[in-house]
Amino acid sequence: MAKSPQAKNAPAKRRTSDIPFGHDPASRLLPWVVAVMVYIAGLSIAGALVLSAFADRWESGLIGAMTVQIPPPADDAIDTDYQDGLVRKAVAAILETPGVEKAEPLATEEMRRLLEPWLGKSIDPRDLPLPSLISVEFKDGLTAGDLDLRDLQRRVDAVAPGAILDDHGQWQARLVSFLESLRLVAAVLVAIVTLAGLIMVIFAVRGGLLAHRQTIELLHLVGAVDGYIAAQFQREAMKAGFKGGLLGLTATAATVVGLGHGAASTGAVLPGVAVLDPTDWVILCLLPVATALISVAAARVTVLRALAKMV
Amino acid sequence: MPLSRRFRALKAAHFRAGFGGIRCWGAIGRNRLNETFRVIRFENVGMRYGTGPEVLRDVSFDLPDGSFHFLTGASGAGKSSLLRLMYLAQRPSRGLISIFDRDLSTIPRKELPMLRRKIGVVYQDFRLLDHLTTFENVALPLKVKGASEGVVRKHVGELLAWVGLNDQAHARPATLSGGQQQRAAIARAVVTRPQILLADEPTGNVDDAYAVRLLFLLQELHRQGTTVVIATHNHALIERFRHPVLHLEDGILSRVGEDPVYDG
Repeated sequence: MAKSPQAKNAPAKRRTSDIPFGHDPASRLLPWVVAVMVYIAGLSIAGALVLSAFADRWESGLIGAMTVQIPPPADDAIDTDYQDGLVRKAVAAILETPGVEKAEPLATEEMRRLLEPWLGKSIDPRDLPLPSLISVEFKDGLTAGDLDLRDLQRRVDAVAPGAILDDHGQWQARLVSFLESLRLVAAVLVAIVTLAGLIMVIFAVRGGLLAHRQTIELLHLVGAVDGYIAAQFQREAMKAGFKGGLLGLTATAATVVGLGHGAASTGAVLPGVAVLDPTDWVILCLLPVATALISVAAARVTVLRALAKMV
Repeated sequence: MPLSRRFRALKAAHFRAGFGGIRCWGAIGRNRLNETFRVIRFENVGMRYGTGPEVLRDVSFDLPDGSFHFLTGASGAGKSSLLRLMYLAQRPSRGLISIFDRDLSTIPRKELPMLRRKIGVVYQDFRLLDHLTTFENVALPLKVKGASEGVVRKHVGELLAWVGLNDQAHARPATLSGGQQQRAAIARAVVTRPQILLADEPTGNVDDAYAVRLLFLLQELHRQGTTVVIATHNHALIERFRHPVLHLEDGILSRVGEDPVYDG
């Protein structure tokens, strides 16, 4: 079918911006600046997520458990049988306490393994005036707060005076406080990077407004409303934000995976590759969307405020 | 008359004249000259750029709907500044301007785009956007109005044919000659069928024969009812077309020629 002259003259379907952003150095550089910002923010967020996962793992290992220490005799006279007797009585007393699932004394072998780094292999812990440790586990879903610890203390004291109940609360409180500080630092870092990114977008948009002042004036004069002009800057900011976000995310992912591999090679002490769970990755993957939205909002506000000053 | 029919009639007249020597332009369409409605009114208008001296002083005049005026004056007399006030690119430092009976000093800023859409402007330097094709440049006023793609394609196609730029629809302004750029600028100015057409020195960069052809085109738009103001230095054209003249001298408007509504 022959095309009408109008159809023949019409340009091929493509979305051409009325403003030539491609000629503007600030617009060209913006995705790279955003990428750096997203990289820093991404690492901060990943760090905070790793710490949270780490803390959760420690905590889940400790929740629902406690340790009872039976001190050695005060005169330092080592009487293994006496001490073992105290431990057995204490275990029996602990097991009678409601909510307790299991109570097991720490085996001599395990004790040796714990002390080995400091005292060497040749030392027998039974020759030392060390407290005996009883590992206590609670019934499913219970924590130390659910148990009557006073009753437990009383029961244990009755058979082994001076016994110490350690529900790891103090250690946990310190750990939580430390992790909260680290999370706060990460949040502040993300906020600073977001602010810096916002400022960069605002400067780039202002640069674009100056660079394309004549085009903008022409658009105004042919009857464009402010929203029409702002929409063109928004589209450009969205593209730059999303592109920069993707670049930054790629770099972040590569770094996290690389560090994970490095950490995994150190052994079990540090979290490994799989330390970020799928939910964490989803959070990181939202970064390009977030940067695109923030860029759009910043561009819109900046352009509308600038245009409001024009005739 | 629908826009498409109007352009077809104009195109036919254009081809009859061959655009290489327009000899006869029949009266096409209805002349909407309405002496009682003033589309532009200036009262004691003064204008200065920043803190500089006044470039326009106590300018007062009325332009009736459907009128045709030349705006003359030496370089620096204030012609472009007066036009900038008319096409709402500038606010006056003092005085009262009303366009389509709307007082510009009280009109909210958000309503200015709607007024601007009724005013077509041919700039002295054309102001075509280099990164857009001729088609896209001409389509710009329709695009900002939110016209559908079909409407844009139809009207812009017709206008490009009218100004003889059919074959240059995909060309960038940089590859067009001065005359072609000017015709593209005219097409862009009239694509929305404005009620007022302002042209700043449209004959400044063309030879006399082309200037006459151009004036015939603008006169034809005037016959359709468009109020036309042309700033020009070309006295031969003014003599030939014999429309009322607004003459500026050092920013002060003085009357030259026949203009029954001038009260300056």
